[in-house]
Amino acid sequence: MADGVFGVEVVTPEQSLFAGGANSVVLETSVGALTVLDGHMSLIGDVAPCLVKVDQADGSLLRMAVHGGFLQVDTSPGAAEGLAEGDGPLPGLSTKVTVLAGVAELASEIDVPRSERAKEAATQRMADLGSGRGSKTESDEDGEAPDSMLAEAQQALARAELRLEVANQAD
Amino acid sequence: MAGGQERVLRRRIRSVQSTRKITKAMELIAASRIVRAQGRITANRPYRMGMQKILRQVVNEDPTLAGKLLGTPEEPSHVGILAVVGDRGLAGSYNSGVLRATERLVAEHTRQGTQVTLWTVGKKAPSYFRYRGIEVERSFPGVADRPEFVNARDIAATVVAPFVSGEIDMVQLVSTRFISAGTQRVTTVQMLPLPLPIEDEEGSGIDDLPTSGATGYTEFEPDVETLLAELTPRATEAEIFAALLEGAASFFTAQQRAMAAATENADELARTLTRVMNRARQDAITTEIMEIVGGAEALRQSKGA
Repeated sequence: MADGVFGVEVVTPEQSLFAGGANSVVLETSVGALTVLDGHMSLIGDVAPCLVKVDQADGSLLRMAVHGGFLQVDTSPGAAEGLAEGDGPLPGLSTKVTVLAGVAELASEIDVPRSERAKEAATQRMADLGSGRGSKTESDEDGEAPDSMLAEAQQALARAELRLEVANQAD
Repeated sequence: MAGGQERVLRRRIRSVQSTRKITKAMELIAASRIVRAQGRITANRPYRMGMQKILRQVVNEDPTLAGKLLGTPEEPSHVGILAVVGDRGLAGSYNSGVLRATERLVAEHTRQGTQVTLWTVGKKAPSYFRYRGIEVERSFPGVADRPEFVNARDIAATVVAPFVSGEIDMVQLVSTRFISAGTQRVTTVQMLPLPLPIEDEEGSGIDDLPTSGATGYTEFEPDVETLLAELTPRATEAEIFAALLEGAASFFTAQQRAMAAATENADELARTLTRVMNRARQDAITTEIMEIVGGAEALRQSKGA
């Protein structure tokens, strides 16, 4: 196996988004940007909602939108064993990077028109909630506090924006 | 009149056969859904395992800091229980198994003077508890058949909030674990505080993790305390999602089994009824022949006289 290649796995609760060898992984933690190369020390960290770039072993670059999660760089022996690329496991890799994300998608799978619609809807919702504040408390009646609804709208907006950013860069 | 009995039986056989068609169809539908539900469990496994691995390492790093988030409280004063059942019935003992276990658990806590808050997943739960005078704080209907991760997130938010605020000391989960296609078991597990060492009784393939994952020094970013505060809701989410997926798979397995048994019973019943009907018809024919013969005999005798 080529030098500098290590195992990478990006998983969501629904599926494994990517599993294979890579030369580098670029992502953001809550502390700052992070590039993982082969030989990186053991690390456990969080992943901020960001664009994750995986420089695959075959040289092609894979982009995905990861909407927050965790990251583990495992250097224990045999960590990358069982990691399948295509039809066989990767032999001889000692480092394995695992990215766990509740929601994540490949750049190629992002539905741009849908994300745009979602962005507009979220902006609209935030505007509505913002203007309705203080004067009337009708939104309390549906049992949900306006604060949590606002937070939800903000999250939806952030997700839509990240998707658009990732999708547009890929082109 | 003998022909009447035959007609009644014929109608019953038809009714049994049309019921059989329904149960057979349900059996086939359930069988086809098991495969998909099982596939989703498999697809979820890497995430769940990864989460547990990270959690374990973070906790190992600083067990004292984890304090409140770990271990079992000796005398909880307020316990939250999440019960996972199905949205629909006709699935054998799938729903009742979990519901009865939950009811027992609630009764036990109440006897010890512990306050209980109950949350339920599945339409079958609220009516069961309402009938028994047990209050359900919040129920999540309509997610049991095809759980999405967003659902797990909502449920986790509801469950974690009172725990973090200190209102609830412990959260337990009652659900059906999908051990294999042949075995599903109703289990009660502690969800919060995070039970450690994370046991694997459900045999979902997590047991092959190395017990001490950390070799040498591991860096944490951000610090362990912040990470742990972030990990707790995420790990709960993952556990709930896994429980929902396994519950769905167990539901379809239970339904398939129940409907297969129902179909078999319908076959059996139709066979028995057919036999009874044939005998009734034979009897009717015999009686009719006897009457004709008797009539002809009487005629002949009266003519001969």
